[in-house]
Amino acid sequence: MYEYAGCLILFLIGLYTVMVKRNIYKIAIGILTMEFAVDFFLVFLGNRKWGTALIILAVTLIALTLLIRAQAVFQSLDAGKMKELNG
Amino acid sequence: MLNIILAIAIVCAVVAAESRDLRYSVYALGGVGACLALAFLVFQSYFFAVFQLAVVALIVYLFIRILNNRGIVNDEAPHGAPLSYVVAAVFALLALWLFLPALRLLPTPQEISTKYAETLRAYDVFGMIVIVAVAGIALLSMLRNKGQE
Repeated sequence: MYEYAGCLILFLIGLYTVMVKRNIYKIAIGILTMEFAVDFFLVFLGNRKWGTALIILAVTLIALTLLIRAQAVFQSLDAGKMKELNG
Repeated sequence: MLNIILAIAIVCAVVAAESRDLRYSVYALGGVGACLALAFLVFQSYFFAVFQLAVVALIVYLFIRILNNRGIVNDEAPHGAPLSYVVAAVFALLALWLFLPALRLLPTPQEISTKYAETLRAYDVFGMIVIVAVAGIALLSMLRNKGQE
């Protein structure tokens, strides 16, 4: 029970980071924290596969690419200044 | 043992969230991943532990490399609006209200750790390779577009 509650706390810390922080790198770190929390939960349930690590790697690659592009376009790390998205 | 590992992971996550130096945040995120690798070790899944550690090391390397290349050190963006704190708290309370009763019904990790057989691993690995390949192609194409601009 306590292990699963710990996973939930870890997930909520990631959620807090995503919702409160405005630095785009911090937001990516929050998303990865939530992914690690889900992985902890799956590991505790006995679902031990190396695929979970690869999913984290794939998400990190895509997130970093988007961050680099966003920073190049908007010249800022503040997510609040990225409201004018060009479609 | 698992509780201690989770406690360390939670502390690392808090440091990752609150540190003003982004490099420390990334190192703390690596700490969370290393704790996950330790959890694999506790369950005697040595290969998965090493694989997880390698992936986490790669993630930390990529983050640090990008931060250093772009000269980003500190988190200088202001915090979110007060409303974002309220929304985060509402989400947290909602999650606790929804999931805590369900968590009591789950068996302890030690009871079920040996019950699950890993099946269809070949399809799993194939799917993961496709995901990483698509991510890599997306990364290369976006970086190439940047170069052309």
